[in-house]
Amino acid sequence: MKLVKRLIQPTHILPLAIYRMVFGFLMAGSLVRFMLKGWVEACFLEPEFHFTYQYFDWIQPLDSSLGMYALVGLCAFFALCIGVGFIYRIASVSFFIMFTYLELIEQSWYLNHYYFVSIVAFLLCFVPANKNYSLDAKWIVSLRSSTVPFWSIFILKLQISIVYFFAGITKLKPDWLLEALPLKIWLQTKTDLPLIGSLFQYETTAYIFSYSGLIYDLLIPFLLWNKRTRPFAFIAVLIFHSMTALLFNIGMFPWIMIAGSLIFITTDEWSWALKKINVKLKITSVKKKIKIKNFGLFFFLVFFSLQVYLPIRHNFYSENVLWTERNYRFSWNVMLMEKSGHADFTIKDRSTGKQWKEYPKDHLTNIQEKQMSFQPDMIWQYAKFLKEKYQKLGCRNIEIFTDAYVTLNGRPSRQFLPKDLNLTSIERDKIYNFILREK
Amino acid sequence: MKMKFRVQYLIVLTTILFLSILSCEKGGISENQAQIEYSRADQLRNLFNNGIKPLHEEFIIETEGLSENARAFKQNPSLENFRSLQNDWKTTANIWKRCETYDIGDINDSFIHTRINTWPTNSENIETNIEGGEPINLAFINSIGSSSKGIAAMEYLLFKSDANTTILELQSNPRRTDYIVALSKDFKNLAVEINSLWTNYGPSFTVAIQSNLEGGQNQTINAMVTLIEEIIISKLGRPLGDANGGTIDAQEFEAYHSDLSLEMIKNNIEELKKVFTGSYSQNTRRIGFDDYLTNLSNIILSDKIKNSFEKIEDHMASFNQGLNASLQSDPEKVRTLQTLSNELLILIKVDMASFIGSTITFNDNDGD
Repeated sequence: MKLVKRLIQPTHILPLAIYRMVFGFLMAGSLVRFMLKGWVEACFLEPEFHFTYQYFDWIQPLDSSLGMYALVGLCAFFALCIGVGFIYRIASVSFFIMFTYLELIEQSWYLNHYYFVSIVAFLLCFVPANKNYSLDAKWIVSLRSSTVPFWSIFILKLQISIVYFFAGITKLKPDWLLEALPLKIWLQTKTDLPLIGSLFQYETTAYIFSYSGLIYDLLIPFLLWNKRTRPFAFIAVLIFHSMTALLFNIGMFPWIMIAGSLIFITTDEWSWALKKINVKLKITSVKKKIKIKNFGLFFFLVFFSLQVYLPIRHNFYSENVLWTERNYRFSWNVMLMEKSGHADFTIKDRSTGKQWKEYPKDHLTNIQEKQMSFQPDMIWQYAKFLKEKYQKLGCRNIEIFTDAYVTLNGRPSRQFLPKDLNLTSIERDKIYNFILREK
Repeated sequence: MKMKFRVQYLIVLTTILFLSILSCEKGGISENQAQIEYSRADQLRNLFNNGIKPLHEEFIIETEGLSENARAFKQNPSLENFRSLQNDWKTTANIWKRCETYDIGDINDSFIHTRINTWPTNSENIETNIEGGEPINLAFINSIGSSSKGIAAMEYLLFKSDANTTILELQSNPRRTDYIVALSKDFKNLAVEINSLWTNYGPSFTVAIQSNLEGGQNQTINAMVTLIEEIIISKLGRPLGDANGGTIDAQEFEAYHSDLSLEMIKNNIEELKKVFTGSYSQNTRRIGFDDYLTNLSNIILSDKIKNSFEKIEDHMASFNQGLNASLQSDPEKVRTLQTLSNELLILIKVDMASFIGSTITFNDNDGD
């Protein structure tokens, strides 16, 4: 009950407004970058066939190139609107729907930070982040307020903490702890970096990075929550994410997480920091509590329970999740493995007795082929696509088999699925039960 | 002040601890580890200076010889000159199959490989061109599409029928010979052009020791993977019926008319092996991917890949006839060659690339 009381306490809007601005501008920039890099074509338009998420196979891209560009452009526009706080409610809901739609189109482009953006965008739909420091508040006087209920900042802090904490929990694996993998592989490719590059030839460096990363992920949410440790935690956030940006090809992720940590900085701290550069912040204190409805409380309880359940659900199976990837996505498994594979397919026509090969290269883009080669549900989806292709050509009685080899964290490649498994005879979920053991 | 002092103390202590751990590493800085960076640069220099450069210079010499022989045949279309021209084409094609391995960086961006050799050739277009009224010369060849010129087009003109029939056709229609002469001139120019591209690109290729997509090592692995996949999918897969529902068809071989397909694959594989081992005849210090893997303490993988190359070579040596006949008499033997190539592909594309942290494919999005 204490927590509920605390949640309805009014608090200054500044941290929320700053987070809204940084998030909005970052997303707008990110979507423009997406277009400039030619990824609208690569992700949405070029593929002959799209890998879809389970239960979301009805989500498909628009047919026209102009349409897709317009959609991504509009999404960037709404992100900008979030940033400046213009038509905020419409912008946040529209951004969430559009971004999530774009994300769900192609499974082979799944990234943890796209998922994170969708979640944050969802939460932003509920919080009154436009009540001040926004165009809405400037133009609509009745909307203006310098406070928001504490829960509207709390839920964002909680979400960011969940990401960090579970990213740490998922690192508690033998490869990470005992072998410093995959960092051992990745760091040895960075020896050409000036100044620090030579350090990466040592195994010790990989171990130091592995354990630092683990400790960082597990502790940083707590250190950010705590007033005393917050300044050091924020410096750690800057150093950690700058290093990951320098060393790995992870695009916007470091910047999104640095932006995320801003929500932990309180109004007093902002005030103190701004005073240093001669900017005075006008803070009005309002005592009025804002009621939180039972339904709202229940809704967020369910939402965050789900956020806790998703990252732990793979533990219900006694298997190496890095190898099988059952329930791997949406679980904050970040930078955990160096994995690659190769899969080709054999088609057997039972009516004619003929058999032939199908090479994924003929139908998939490079990224699709690469991702499909070691992800069981995508192998299954590709087999389904081939089945439909041949059914259209009149082959009603075909069986599809795959010859797939996968390597995980530098270990010798192994056969991934039985060569005699007819992929057309099983359901999507069942494919995980047929994965051959790694060792 | 107290806090400030504590932070400084902590930083100094951490630095000392870190340096101590490094200095206490078992055996100190092992020579192998220290050589990782060195060998990567050395490997690229070896690849370019002892492999790519001399090979492309050899290609120029061969295309000059081919061009001269084509001219000689035009002046004197005898059977002897025809045989000589055919043999010259075979030598040039075989050298090209070695060059084919190096479709990398600026060279890949220039699409010159496509201009030198696109197969299957479009024989209908070639016949239409010959039947047409436009003068057939270098300018004409430059104006037509890649599928009607290059190594495969010349193969069609020189080997489409038996020697006597082909020579009769050539004698009766001078435009056919003109086509060959113009193609040979085009080869000569393209050989100079590709060599010049490499001369310009070589210096930046050899210093591209970074691990990103532009890194020389990454680009080389990608080129190796692309060629092995082409062997599996196109050079062997198509004739084996992989693309047409399982019906074998020898006409789908890369060099069906000359039956040089096996030789061509042999040259591909031999050059790929050289890229892996760095064993070019000119050099004494043969740094290749095998040494890089050894430096990273994975001798097992290095040996596995060498064995895989040897298995393919041994299998190819066991063919006592060309691929055209072998496909009819013993398709399983051809299928085995494809299977062995697939094993090599997995070792390079999956095991090696993953172990050395190489990025396969050129249009990566952000990771994780």
